[in-house]
Amino acid sequence: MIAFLVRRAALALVTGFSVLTLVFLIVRVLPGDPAQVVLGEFAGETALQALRHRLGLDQPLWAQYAQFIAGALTGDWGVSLVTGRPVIAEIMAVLPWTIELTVVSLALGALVGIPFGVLAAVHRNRALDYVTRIASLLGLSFPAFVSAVILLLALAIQLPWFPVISAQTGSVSAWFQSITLPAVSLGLIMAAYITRVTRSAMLEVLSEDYVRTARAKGMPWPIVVRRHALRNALIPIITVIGLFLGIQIGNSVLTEIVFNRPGLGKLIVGALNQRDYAMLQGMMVIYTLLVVFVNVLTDIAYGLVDPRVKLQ
Amino acid sequence: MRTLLALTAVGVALTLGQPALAQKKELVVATSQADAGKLDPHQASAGADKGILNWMFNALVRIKPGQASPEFIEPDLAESWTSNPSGTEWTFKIRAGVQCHGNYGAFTAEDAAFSLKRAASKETSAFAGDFAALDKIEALDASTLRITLKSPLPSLLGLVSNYHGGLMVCRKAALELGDGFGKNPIGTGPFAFVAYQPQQFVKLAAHKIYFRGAPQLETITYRYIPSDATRDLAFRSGEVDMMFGRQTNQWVERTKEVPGAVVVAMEPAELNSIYLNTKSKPLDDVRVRQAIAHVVNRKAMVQFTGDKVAREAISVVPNGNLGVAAVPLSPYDPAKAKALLKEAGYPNGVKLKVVQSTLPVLMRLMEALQGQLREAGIELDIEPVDHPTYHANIRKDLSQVTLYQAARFPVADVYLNQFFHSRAAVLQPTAVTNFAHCAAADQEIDAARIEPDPAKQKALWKAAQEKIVQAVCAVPFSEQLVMWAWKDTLDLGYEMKGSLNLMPHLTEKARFTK
Repeated sequence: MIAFLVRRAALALVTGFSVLTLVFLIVRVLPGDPAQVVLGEFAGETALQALRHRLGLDQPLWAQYAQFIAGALTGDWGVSLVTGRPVIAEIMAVLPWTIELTVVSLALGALVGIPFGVLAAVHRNRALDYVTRIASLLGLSFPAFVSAVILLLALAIQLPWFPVISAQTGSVSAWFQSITLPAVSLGLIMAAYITRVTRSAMLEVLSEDYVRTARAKGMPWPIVVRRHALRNALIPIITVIGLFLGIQIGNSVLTEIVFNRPGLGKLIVGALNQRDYAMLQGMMVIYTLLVVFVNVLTDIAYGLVDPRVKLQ
Repeated sequence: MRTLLALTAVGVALTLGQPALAQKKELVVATSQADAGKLDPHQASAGADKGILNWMFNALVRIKPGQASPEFIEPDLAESWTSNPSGTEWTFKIRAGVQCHGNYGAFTAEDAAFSLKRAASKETSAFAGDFAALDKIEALDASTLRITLKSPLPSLLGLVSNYHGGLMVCRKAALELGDGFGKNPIGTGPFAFVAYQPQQFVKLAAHKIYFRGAPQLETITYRYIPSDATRDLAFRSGEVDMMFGRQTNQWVERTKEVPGAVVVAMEPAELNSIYLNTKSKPLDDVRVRQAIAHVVNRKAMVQFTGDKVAREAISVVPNGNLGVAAVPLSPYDPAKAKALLKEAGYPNGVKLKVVQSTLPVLMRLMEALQGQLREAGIELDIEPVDHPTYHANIRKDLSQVTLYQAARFPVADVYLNQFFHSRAAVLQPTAVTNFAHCAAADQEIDAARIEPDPAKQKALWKAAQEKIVQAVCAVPFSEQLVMWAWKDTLDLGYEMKGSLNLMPHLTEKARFTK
């Protein structure tokens, strides 16, 4: 287990360094002058040149790269070109919001998706199966921002049960009110996907010999489904959840915008629009670390769920 | 009887003891910006930042709240001012008893001098170029400030007004906080900075010892809501009291239907013009430029944008600017446009390169123009790029036709100098936004700048506008107003006609009537 973690950490380091280099190059290939963006359209050429000098943008590329890598290694990611606030502080201020939304919506997706996937598989080609398949198809086809606006219209305007601005804090009820609609909006898509994956994984397992044997031995059907079928079907489901966890951190941007929640998605879109090199670099590092971390967690989960998978 | 009296007494006591229906003291404003930029008045470039800074800072003079014209300049931190006959030396008497936010003490002429020097320094200000004409800034004593100019400026009062770099910072706070000033802005205005939550809000509280009197609102929460739909819904649900609107007729009609909503179209309007690069072929031939001017249908462009949020342009300078003249613009005449192209040697039309921002509001306008120009055989080869790239590339002279939407300090001198003086042509160290490389009226623009007689100055500005229109450096077509909505229970304390910062000015008088 320790050897496995060390190996994964080494791989993560190589990945991280490659990403840092790529990110550095990509943000500088982008057209547009960060100084112009920072100072605005009113700024004269002298002020622009002074800012480029202050930000080090007039230095050769290699010098900027050396400075960037040194900063990244020492934890100094610089300050945002636009706001002047430290990059790490800007990211840390919104990261908990993104993690919270991702985890809650994922939990919601799994809690809805896995049972419905199992039920659909068990009742294959019956009414419940058809309804589940159609519902999950609809869930997948609906863009997150459309479901978000519909949820707001229905549950914040027509029935004023939830706030439109879903970023209230201070009490458990305020938190619950703020997280519910965004998590449902994002969780619906996950639930749809997990339902479909669970159904197909379960169908495959349910046709295995050991399931037939368990039933022949007179084991009650619910126990067969839970202990013999679902446990063996969990590997593809975990894979999907792991993948989704990474993707969802990025995908949450539309949900964050519509529900007006702070988050990494909004931060990266703003940094991109404003050519905030320092912020973009910091964000990419965080995204990479998060995805690598989730992948490691997924690998560990495989071993825990299925003893046949060795952590080698 | 005694019981009855006792019951009556209890009833009266209970009635009198009931608290009156509390008047709302907290205002929530929603802007379309995604997050706060630098909250430093000398560095903030985004409209949404400049707006909120106006609630926290004062200037030497201000444009009367609710107005957007320099005709309405009135005292602010300066009680009075005088200038020498040639207009090169200005003396301001600073108001006594003005207190900076926090524990930063009284505001004096020393603070004013420091602030102007800070605004004029390219190290600390995005507006340093605007202050280039200032020669000396001196605090003669605690209440007297003297500004000496290198040459007269028609808009010196505009420069020291509550617009861009004119807002005054408190010296002690700026020195103590250094680069952190933008995170904890200290001014003298009716509202003081309290807190900032990334991507959520900036919170302000009443500056109780504000020199014009304690503000009636207790707090302002300035929320960043970039999604138009969410802003509308938050306004509808009552979570927001005032919001930045959309520049479409549909938005106006829909918002007016919200119970208790007031919808306001604010001055100054932003002028929409296309700037024609007079140095590039075939636009170096004035007949080609005239052809373009004849095929742009201003009326249709206004209808396209929405007549509730736009109006026809009247000159190359925005309507409402001091010195704007309604010069005759080319009438819509596609046949004449074709004839002019033929005469210029382009009977089969011309093809022009356009670098265009993908911002929907600008892209829609350019696509409509593309359709109109096609009527005369003028083909626009549009290269869509994101907004920062558009700004960079049009300044590199990469676009033959540049669509630009702008409002500036409303004195013709500013617009003419920035967009039409050869000094401001792109690709030069002194470049601003002369994308056309226009040099048609340099003499008149320069002469107007130093003309002390206001009538003659206006005549020179008019002559400059006529020459620019004749040279077809630009084809102005429409002006877009800034839209806002707020609850009818919010009384701003003045009649709203406009605001230079494109955001309602919230003063100590703003209050809720319920």
